Amino acid sequence: MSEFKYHIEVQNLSTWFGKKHILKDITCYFKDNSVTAVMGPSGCGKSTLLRSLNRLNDLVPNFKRSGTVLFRGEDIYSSGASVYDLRTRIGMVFQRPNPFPMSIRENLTYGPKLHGIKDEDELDKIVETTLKKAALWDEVKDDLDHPAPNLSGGQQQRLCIARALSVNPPVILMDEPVSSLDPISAAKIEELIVELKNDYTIILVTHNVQQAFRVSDLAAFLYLGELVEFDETKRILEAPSDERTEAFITGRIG
Amino acid sequence: MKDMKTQLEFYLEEIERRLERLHELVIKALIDSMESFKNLDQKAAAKVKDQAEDIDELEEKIEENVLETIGRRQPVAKDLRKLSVYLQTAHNLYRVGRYSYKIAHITYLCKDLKHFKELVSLPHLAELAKQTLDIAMQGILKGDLSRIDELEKLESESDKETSDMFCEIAQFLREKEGIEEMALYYILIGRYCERAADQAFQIAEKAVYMVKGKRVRLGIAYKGRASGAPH
Repeated sequence: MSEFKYHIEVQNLSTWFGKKHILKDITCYFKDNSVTAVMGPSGCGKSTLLRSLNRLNDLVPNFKRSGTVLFRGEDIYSSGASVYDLRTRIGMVFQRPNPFPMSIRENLTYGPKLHGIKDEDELDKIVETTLKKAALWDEVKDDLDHPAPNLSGGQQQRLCIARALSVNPPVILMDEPVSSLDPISAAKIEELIVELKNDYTIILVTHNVQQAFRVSDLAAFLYLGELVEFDETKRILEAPSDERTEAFITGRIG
Repeated sequence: MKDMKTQLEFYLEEIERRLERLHELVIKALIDSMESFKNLDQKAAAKVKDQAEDIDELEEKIEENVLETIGRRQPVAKDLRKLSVYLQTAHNLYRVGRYSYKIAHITYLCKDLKHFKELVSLPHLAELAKQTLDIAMQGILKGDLSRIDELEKLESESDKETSDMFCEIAQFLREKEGIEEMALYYILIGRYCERAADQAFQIAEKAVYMVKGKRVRLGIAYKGRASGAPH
């Protein structure tokens, strides 16, 4: 295992979809046990950046990339790297809750079983621990065998977060995880994100500037595929150093 | 569409209008209170004291506006800095208003006293405080920092005037009897003028922060040249 300073480091990353140049020479790192918000106007490349971190873009036709993404010091795009292993270390939560059409319990044991855990007691423990971490245990502990799609939208999204945690990845990627939720559910997820950073490194894509300021420690601002600014969130909130960041966060572009 | 004002801009403009009015009221109170003392004019002093309520009310209104704007519009970056600075500026101006009130009150206490010397230093100190305040408020209301460098000269002049006045009054006290009460009032009022200028200095520092996003310390005291004035 190589030496590494951060779980994830991006070096000179550029990406294309066909001829369209999306990300332009991005270099940044994601600090451990913190929330980094990636923000920017629609089409700036923030989701592409996030999806490049666990190779979700690989299946997109005409996707090209240059530069490296290091996970624990190793290039995730190197020829020997296993995408399967990578996904166990970097979890992902999407914009819309997407529980499997199974019971709550099965949603949470699916990943661990795939990775060879068969002991029922251990699986039960994973179910309880992850639901507790996702602040959902008290609401569903008596209904673990009920179908997950019957949960409310906010509960489904917390279940998806619990599912991401079930294989215990050190890094969790979140792509606008509250944008389809009502304000109460969104607030619960935001609280949860702040709690989870004690144990995980979280990278959050959001177009909601206020949300980025509420939950993140560091913030990256992307504009037309360029990384314009990357700094402590509180500093960007108070005095961004680039005019484009200022214009975006004050609502004058975007 | 690009030129359309945002709700936040309307909110900010309303606060700026009120700050401008507060600045006018405070300057008037400072100069009028000094005039009332210079002429020991009880009517003028009473007017300054009556105006103090307007200053109090306006400061409260600005505070309400700032809190409402933060709550409703959730500003960030320069807009957030502006609001933070507006809130503090309103309080700094209010303090200058209070010093003016106190000067007017001293005029009232002096109804049976007379000046034992021609009053030169105190009106000059009030004028220096006014100039400092005007430069600072130009930064706050117009984002214009072009005169900030003049502040150091004003501070220097104010220090020298305070120091000279202190020596002059001490000399009078050594030579003349029955002037003690008035002499103490002179020193007190000199102190209020110095404090007013200090509030203006704080406003100027906030203006730089508001415009540039950087915190600065202005003035000779921060440059290792301590003031020679006894305050």
